[in-house]
Amino acid sequence: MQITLYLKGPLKKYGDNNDSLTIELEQDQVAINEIIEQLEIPASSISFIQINGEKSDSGTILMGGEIIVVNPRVAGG
Amino acid sequence: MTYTGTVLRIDLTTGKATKEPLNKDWAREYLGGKGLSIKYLYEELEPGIDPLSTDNKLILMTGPTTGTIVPNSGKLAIAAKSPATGTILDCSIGGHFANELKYAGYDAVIIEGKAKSPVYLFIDDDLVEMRSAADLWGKGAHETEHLIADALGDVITLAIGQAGENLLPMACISSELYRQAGRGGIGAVMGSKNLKAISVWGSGGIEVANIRKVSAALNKIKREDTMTDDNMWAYSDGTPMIVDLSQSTGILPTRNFQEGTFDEYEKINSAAVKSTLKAKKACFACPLACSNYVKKGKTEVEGPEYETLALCGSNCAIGDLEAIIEFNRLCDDYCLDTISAGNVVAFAMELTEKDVHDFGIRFGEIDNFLKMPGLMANREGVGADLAEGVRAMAEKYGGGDYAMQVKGLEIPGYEPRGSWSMGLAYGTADRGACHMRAWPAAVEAFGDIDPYTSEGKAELVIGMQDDNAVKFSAIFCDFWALSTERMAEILNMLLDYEVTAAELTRIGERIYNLARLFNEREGFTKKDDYLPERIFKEKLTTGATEGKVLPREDYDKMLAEYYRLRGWDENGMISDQKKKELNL
Ligand code: SF4
Repeated sequence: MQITLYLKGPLKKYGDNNDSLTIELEQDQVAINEIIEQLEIPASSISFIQINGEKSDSGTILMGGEIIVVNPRVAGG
Repeated sequence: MTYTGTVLRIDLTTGKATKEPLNKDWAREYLGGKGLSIKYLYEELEPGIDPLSTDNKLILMTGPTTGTIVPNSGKLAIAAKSPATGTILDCSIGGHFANELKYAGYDAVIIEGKAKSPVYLFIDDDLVEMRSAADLWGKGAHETEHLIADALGDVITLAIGQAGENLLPMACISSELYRQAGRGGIGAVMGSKNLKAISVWGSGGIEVANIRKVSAALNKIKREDTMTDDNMWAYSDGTPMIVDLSQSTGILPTRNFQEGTFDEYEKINSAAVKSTLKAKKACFACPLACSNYVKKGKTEVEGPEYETLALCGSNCAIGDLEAIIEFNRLCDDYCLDTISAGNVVAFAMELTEKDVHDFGIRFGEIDNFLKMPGLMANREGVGADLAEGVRAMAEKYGGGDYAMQVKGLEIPGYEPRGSWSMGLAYGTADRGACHMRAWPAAVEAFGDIDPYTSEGKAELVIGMQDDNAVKFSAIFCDFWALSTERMAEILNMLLDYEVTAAELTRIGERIYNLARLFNEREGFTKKDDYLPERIFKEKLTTGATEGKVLPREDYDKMLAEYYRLRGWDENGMISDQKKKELNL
């Protein structure tokens, strides 16, 4: 399966400074937090994750083809 | 000790400037910035004064971090009684004015009275001059700053544009062209005093005990706690980053808060702003440099910030970034607060489309949209009505249910129906609808907390309000997500007494309560803590917030819990016990 990942703002560094990553996986399904762990993004650095445009739980199972956006924490407004 | 210990008091009526000692007891209880300026105003202003009369005072207040190399310490508090709301008003402005004021030898400036004719002030260490502003009156803030720089050389200036001269309740104060003390009509207070600008230059410094040790410690903090994942969004993107967050969570105000998503959001989001980026800019002592200097087509600006993109973009259905940049530039020059300006234009668009009153402007009309800042600032044509703000427009023409304001201050860019804690934060903010007193959307709509429950929201909002009160008083920019423990650690390097995190939280609580007490004295009650009916009744129709309202019963519940946790009575009045506890 294949997924596309966008790492926003300072989180880009966890994807070698690429705006987006296309990840090929051998499994049929995988939880989004496993991908986050593999990329070594600290959970505390993430505000929320969007899957196909919707705010999603970090335990959401991916089936392939998803577009994922990982947003950093923000402060102040 | 990093206070200079000196307050400069300037009476514009007599033209006299005097120095007086800073009230050290108050400084210990209120730190500086927001807290200390509110304390001075509470003690010195008579209740019920007209904010635009000679009785109001304008206070510029630094804090104990000001002028040092503490990260993100470059902000200045400017406070007065608000012409927009009649509440207490403190604004925060970045740039380099605060450190220069401290280097000139002052913790604060208190400006009283009214000059006979337009003047500007020049503070150059001990020299304080009141100069004629006859040639500057009628000019925009940008030209004013340029002309003053031509006359005085290297100075940092706070200036007003035509909006301040014409006493608009949304007039702001500008500095270094694109930095603003934005809200509540603080610029109109300057205008009412015939004060066009204040320029400062200082040749002194700040004394810090054991400077080597302090520098090393602060550099370590900067590396390990400032330039980190939590804060570097400010550098990588700045506030435009929030457009995508708000869009995806359905809280991006659109068409005067009729919807929470905007079809054209990709034309105004961070990626779009970045495509026009020319340079990053920062306030004094700031490693985060959140500001984007952008250029598109024939226009350029430092900005636009999220609030401008949301209120003047999606909220007016303007998906053209060049138009938003130009609107932003015009507002900065005339000195209009873009949050209020975006709101009034959107309200006029909705009133026109609903046939309530024809303001000659509809959603998405770029040409008319760009005419509005000039018409408002000069009170010309339809601008005369818009200049008064949405509450006054609704009183005159109707549409009060969707005049998006609290206590007379227009609502910032986070839709409360998709972030219930933001609703409570707006309702209980000391200066009317404000996102800088507490910004719980960060951990709720954009975090793990359920946005659609009243549970736990009061505690969340109170914690943030008290923490922010400390931040804006000690002077740490709110874009640095630092803990009160870290604030205490830093302040202990600068002060000649020790302070703990718990004591800072107590100071924050004291400041927030004093602000409330000021408003209570002005006659504000529970009914003023409510949001426009649209939020309680009208369902949103798109995106993640489709079908959502903030039910009034849930708001009532949050508010009751908020009063209870604050130690206020069921009508939101501060109890005598709480006053005693906080030494109010
Ligand atoms: S983060 Fe932005 S607003 Fe805050 S001090 Fe730095 S440049 Fe100024």
